[in-house]
Amino acid sequence: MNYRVRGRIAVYSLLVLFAFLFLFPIYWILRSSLLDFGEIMSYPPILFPSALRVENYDEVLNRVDFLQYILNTFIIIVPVLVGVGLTSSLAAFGFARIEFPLKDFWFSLVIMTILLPSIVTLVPTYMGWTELHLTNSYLPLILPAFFGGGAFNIFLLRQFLLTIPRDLDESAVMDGAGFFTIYSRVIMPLVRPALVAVLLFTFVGVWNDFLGQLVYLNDQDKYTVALGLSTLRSNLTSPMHLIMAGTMIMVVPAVVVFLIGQRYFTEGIATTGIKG
Amino acid sequence: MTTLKKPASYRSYNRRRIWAGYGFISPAILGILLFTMAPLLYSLYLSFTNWTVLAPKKWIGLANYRKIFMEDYFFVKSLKATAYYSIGSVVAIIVVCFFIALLLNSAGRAKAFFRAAFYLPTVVPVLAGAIVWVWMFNVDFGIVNYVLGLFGIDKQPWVGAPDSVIPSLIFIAVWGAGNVIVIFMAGMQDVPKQLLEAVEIDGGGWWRKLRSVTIPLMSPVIFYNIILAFINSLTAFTQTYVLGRNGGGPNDSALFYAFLIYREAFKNQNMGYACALAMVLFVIVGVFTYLLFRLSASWVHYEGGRKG
Repeated sequence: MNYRVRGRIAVYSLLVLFAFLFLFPIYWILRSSLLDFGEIMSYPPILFPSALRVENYDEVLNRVDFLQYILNTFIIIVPVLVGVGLTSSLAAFGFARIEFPLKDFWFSLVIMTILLPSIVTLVPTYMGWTELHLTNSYLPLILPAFFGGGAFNIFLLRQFLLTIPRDLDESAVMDGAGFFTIYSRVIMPLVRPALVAVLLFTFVGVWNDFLGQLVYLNDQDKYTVALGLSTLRSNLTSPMHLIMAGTMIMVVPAVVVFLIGQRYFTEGIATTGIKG
Repeated sequence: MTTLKKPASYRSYNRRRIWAGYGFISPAILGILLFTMAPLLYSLYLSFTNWTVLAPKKWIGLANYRKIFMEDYFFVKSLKATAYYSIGSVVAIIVVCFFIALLLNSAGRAKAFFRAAFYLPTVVPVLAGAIVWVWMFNVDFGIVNYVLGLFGIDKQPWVGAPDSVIPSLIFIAVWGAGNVIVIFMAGMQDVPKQLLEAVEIDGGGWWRKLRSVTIPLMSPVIFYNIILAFINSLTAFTQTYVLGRNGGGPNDSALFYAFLIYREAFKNQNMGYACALAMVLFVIVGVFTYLLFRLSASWVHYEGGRKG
């Protein structure tokens, strides 16, 4: 065997090993969600469930109310997607296509907010919402999306917009188009892939958020999937196989969204990474 | 045919442009003022008070800060745990993800499949990931100790003991860092093939190629990933929230700073004190980010003076 073939085999076996390690926990949630209480506590662990106990899901969805939690999570996600899609693309267009005084100053301000860990502002922001008597509602989780939609999203869309040739805008200006027409008719259709990436990241981001929902939502009938799962887990009487079914319910939508939009995910991530 | 515009209409075009520019960015600017600047100032003010939600605010000067630096045992503990986790996870993520990206880059047709496999854990909610890892790390029933047992290795406590909890959480952090692999891969595609071949012609092996071509050319991407992983490590909350009955890990050994702020504010109702803690974090993050950027000048190379 020559050097190159041996190198190939080494590369592939390492990749298979790593991929196995990365995917295994996801498989483990799935297998644990299909066992009963006795099986999940058995040692050595059962690697492949024999009787697939789908009843676990029925129990978590209906008796533990996960169906309601899923609905609640979407009550947050849908308006957030609208707000992010609208205001982050507006800001990105302003920063990438229009010259105006102090532009660099405002843009560096946007970048700096990416570098600020959200925990620094969590408590005072919470106190602000308390003064407005709006805690224990979805508004603190929704409204910020309509104000820029996240610095990172603005950054990503701007990077993408910079790759589109300027001639397009200029010819539209010659034809007498205003900036809003250029934004909505010329540029937006061209940035669809990047916009889809932003919306997919946002979906996963809201679905995966825990701290924000934990702080702002108190009533159980307002709970999201994350809060429902956390409560189920901290309840000492909850059996492990039901916790795992709840965990799987939280994993599936994020994974499905990723698999559908895989291309947009990887392109979107690459856009932010290379053209810093 | 379009006619040339006269200077007068240029002026009005200019004015229109400035208005439009500010119009487009105004929601984002308002957002920064409302949800970042205002909270920062409010937090600074509250940090000088002893607000506990129930009792009225009282100005207490620097008392919160004095308590943080002179008396608070948990502050020191939390700072140590956070620094350990932050440095450990940044180094582990950069090294492991760079290595995997290198492997992937020479993988050929299966690249897309493996890339998806490595990215998948990144979309798994942190809460779900933490729950299953804690279960897999379980001392008595966990699959990890079972597999180690097959190789004759004794049971390890993992997240169950103060000494091993943070290394275990770093392990979980690497598992969820597939986005870093994707960014590295994209950067590696921009490394010119000719340069690598030139090293080969000079008789250099893979290490020489890595050391003299790939790493220097990738330095801006490496820097970007370090910054991202650093900020991310400071927001770690969920992974310690799920450890044990009250969170924070065994004997508060994984009392991450974000969790400390949360506990002071929402469990102990010490809003003023939590704000003071947040201001201290703000200063620490500022100093470290500044240092990272300053240090980067010596090892990050931008091609053709391309700006970072």
